[in-house]
Amino acid sequence: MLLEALLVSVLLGAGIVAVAPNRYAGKLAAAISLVPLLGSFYLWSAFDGASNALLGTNPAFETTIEWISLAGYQLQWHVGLDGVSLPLVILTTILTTTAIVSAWTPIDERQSQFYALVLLLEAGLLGVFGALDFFLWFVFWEVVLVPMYFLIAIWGGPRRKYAAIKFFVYTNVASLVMFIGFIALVFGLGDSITTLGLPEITQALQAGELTGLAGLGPGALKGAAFIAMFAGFAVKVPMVPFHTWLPDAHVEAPTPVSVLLAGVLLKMGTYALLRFNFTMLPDVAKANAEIIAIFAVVSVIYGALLALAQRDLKRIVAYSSISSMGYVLLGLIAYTAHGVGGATFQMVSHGFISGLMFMTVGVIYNQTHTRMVGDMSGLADRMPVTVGIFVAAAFGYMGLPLMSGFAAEVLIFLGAFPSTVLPGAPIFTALAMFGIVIVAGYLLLAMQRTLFGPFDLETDYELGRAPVQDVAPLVVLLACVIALGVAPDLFYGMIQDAVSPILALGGGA
Amino acid sequence: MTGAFDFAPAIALLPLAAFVVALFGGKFLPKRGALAGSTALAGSLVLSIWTLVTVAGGETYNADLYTFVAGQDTLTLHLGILIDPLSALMLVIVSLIALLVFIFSLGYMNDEGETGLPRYYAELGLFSFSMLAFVLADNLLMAFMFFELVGLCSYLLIGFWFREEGPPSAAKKAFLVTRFGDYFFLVGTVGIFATFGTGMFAGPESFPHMAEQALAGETSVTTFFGLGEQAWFTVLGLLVLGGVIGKSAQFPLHTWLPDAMEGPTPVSALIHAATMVAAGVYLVARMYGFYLLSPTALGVIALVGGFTALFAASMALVKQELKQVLAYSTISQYGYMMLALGGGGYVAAVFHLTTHAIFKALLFLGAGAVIIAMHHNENMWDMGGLKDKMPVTYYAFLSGSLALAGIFPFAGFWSKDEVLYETLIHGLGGNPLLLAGYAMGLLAVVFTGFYTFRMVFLTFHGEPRTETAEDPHGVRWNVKLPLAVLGILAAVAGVINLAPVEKVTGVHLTFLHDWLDKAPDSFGTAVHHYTGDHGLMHEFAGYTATNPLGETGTVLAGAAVSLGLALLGAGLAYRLYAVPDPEEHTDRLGSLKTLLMNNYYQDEYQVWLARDVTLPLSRAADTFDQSVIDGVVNATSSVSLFASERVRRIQSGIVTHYATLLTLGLVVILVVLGLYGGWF
Repeated sequence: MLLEALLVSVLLGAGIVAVAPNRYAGKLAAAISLVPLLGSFYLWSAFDGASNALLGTNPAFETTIEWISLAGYQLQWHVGLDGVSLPLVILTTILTTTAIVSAWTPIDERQSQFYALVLLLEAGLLGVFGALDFFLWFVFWEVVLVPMYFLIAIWGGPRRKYAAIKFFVYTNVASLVMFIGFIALVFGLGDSITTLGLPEITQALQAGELTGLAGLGPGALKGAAFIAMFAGFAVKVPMVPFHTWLPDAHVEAPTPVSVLLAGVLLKMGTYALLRFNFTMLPDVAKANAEIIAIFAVVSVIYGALLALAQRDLKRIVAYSSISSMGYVLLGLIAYTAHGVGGATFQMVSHGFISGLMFMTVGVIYNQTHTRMVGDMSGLADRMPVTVGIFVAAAFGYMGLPLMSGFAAEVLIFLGAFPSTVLPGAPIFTALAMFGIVIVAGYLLLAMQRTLFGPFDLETDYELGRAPVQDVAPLVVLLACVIALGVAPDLFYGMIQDAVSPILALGGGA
Repeated sequence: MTGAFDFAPAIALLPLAAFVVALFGGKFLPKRGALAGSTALAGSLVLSIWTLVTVAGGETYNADLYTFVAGQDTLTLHLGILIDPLSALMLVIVSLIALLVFIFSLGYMNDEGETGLPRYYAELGLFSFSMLAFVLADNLLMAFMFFELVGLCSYLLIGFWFREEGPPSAAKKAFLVTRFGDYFFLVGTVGIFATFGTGMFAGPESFPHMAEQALAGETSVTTFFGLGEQAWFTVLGLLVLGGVIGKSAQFPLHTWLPDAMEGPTPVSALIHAATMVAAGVYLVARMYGFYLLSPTALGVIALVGGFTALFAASMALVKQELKQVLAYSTISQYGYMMLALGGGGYVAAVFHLTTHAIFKALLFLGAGAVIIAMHHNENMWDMGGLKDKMPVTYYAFLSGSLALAGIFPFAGFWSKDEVLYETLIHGLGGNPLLLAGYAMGLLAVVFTGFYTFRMVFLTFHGEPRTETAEDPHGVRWNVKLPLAVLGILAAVAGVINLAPVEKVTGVHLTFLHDWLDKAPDSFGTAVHHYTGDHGLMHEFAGYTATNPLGETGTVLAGAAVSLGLALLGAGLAYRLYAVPDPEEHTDRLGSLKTLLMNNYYQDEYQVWLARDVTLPLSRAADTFDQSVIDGVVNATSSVSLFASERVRRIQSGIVTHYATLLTLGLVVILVVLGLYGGWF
């Protein structure tokens, strides 16, 4: 019942914060968020799952409770963690706490509502990563959208209404497409399943229980479901060409929200791709490996080129996320241990690094009140510590060794290159790897212009050192990035445990 | 029993500790972290020498220390330590020069009242850590990791004076250009792991050994794209070479190094002359057993090296700033090392690497002393006559210059001569590529002699040409001590491998050869395994040596030719510039000079590629993204808004309309049901 305890504590906390006075809401929310944070560390220490939650028998911290009976299916409260989801849970709790602290400075109105929504968001995210029943999972998946919508629409920048609606409608339409695809599979399985449990569905698909539906044979049904789910999740990731909601949402969202958006929300997409498309329908994925790899390479290179063209620091980081998520897709389609494992590791690593980057840009914005590259230069002179962390974070993003991004990317490359699933894997890998040059190009260019050179600032603000409460979360995230970079096995061992059953999957009879 | 090898990790970790101390406590420390750094490096040097002595006793070490990523049924990635004669030698070189640079920095940075010193010493410490760990690396991935980290330190130190415009730009360029090379290196590394399942450098499980066995038909490995084994190894070797070309500033990725002179001069000495730039060459030497399997890769290395040696030397002829001459000279000298490696002169390359590290660090530090004296004016035309004002600097600098120009009996003479000799005999053995490389290397000798002594005469001789030069700023012991140590070494370091003397007298004097041959057979990194009678070079690369004048005769003739050419260049410089009031004779080169001053427009085309190709491409992508891709998204919403606006009109709120619609709907349903249900 540990996971439930975490969820309840976060939800209760959200309620308490919602009615707390604005003055104390930030501190209170930070204190409350320590409960799931410490709880997730306890989960880590007590973790005993050694297989994949969908393919093995016993995920860690599993609870199954009969809930509702609907149209012949038992809907269950079914949660549990494996080596893929636990690191993401820890990522979520760490990022939430640091994002809350980083919000103390910039959020100066309606604080209690803001922090309550952030905690509600955390609850939704924990639910998404913990749920093992499709219905439950889908509820959490949708729950996440609601606080995110309000966080952008109320505390966002000048075009916040447009960005919030675009985010909400785009991702919601995507959810619908995905939902249709998945439900078609469920109906196609007919009487072979009695619940909507994800493990049961996965194993039924593996056992070849799929029959046709609405005139489609099993093969065609799988293909159609795969496409629907892939498109639905691709929006969330986001993958080129479904990415245009992301920069708008990031630019308008307040910094702490961007941190959670880039750090965790995008991982819902890759996590779902791994759980649904690549675990449930591996044969379809493998049969279309080249097409998926093309999506991956285009996302990496095209996303990086877009980042190079930007003038707004936040847009630069936003577009670079598209590029980084391309690597995840490449690793997944390789179907090798380091490919899929590295992709999972990249989800966690990118969560920390992009969160750190957004937060650093936010700290600079708090002082300068601008994010435009052309509006400032030589900030290193006035904010040495923040700039030092910025430089460290940027090099982390570039995949500097001994920081987590390097481990993640190099594992993906090592896994993808010799892939036998993906024809022409070395070529796809080498093409995607060129992203490491472009990422260095745009980050170094932006750093040269804003951080170095003679000091200059176009906005009329006295530039001082950032307050400790702004810098402390940066230090925490940087420490996570370095820790995972020096010792990837902190997470990578359990990730491999969870990933290896996927590699052995056949197509299902 | 504990021995030197148990402390080997500390060689790298001590400077890491100095980094942490200087970064967080530098403000509060005396000398702002310089002493912490010097102490750490002194410790590293002592441990390195102990290691060297232990290796001299015939012991070596090759072990994994730390499991970076434990693979389950797949690759496991390690950090480990490989200590053989090559890495033991390199450890001593790196820690010695790093220590001297820390001491010199007291004079160059602390005494000059620089700010940001804790940052400076922290970055130097981080660099020393990364470089030493790179040298210790026992596998290719670890080498890549620290290769990247030294790149970071180089970026940070070039951009040390971040408040100015120039250094941040130069730092960015240095990192980007080397990153471009590192891209190929990483692809090659990944390819090597995919092919062999390991990146180990030495031992029976190492990839050079497995490749050798595969070519001998004893095992088989996975190749890609249907290539044969040797062809695939060539591809892998050339990919890794991309990183080498970037880091060792070889054509066409050399453009970052002259710009890197924006960094503080001690940094130039340590990073951009003696150690980091050597990392590329060291890497080729480290996996030489792999390159020897591919004559194509060797040919490319030799050609790149020979061409770079000549090409860079030609640009050094006309430079006006002291550090610029040295920068192009550095590129050129690394060209010689590459030429040697491509030409089958493994010992020669390591020899030249060693002597060059000493004399080029010396020259840069000497230049630093001159720059202090000249109040940070680097233009040689503003100097002159400094010889009498700063004798220690002058004689040390002269010693380094004689070594650089390759004048008997200074260190550079012996090593450069051996480079050329090895290339020559293997070229004559039936390899025209090597002969072409040799010819370019030989021509570069004249240029080297000329630019070196042009630099010496303009700086130190004649009459002072400015007021600053008449009354230079004095330097203290912390500047003179490193200069003196390196000055003596530059004069005598040649004794470690007096190959020509051995050939003539018959006395055994090739100590470096013996040293590098000490590696145990199981490592496969010993000289006899590479270039011995049954070594890889003969078996796989197909190199044979031909001495047309007999061995002794060829050695002597080669030495005489290269010494003669060096003296020719130096003599010409003496004629033109060793006068009280020299003028710029290179002006007579006319438009050729313009070409040389502009570095053959190499920077222009690279900047053009970045600024006028890639940036517009990215803007075009952005426009496309905003208009087409996002346009479709927005159009979808517009269309649905428009459609719903139209459909909304049905919802008129008038009950009779709804009743009409209801009735109509019912009729339609009945008709449809009737048609399909067969009622009619």
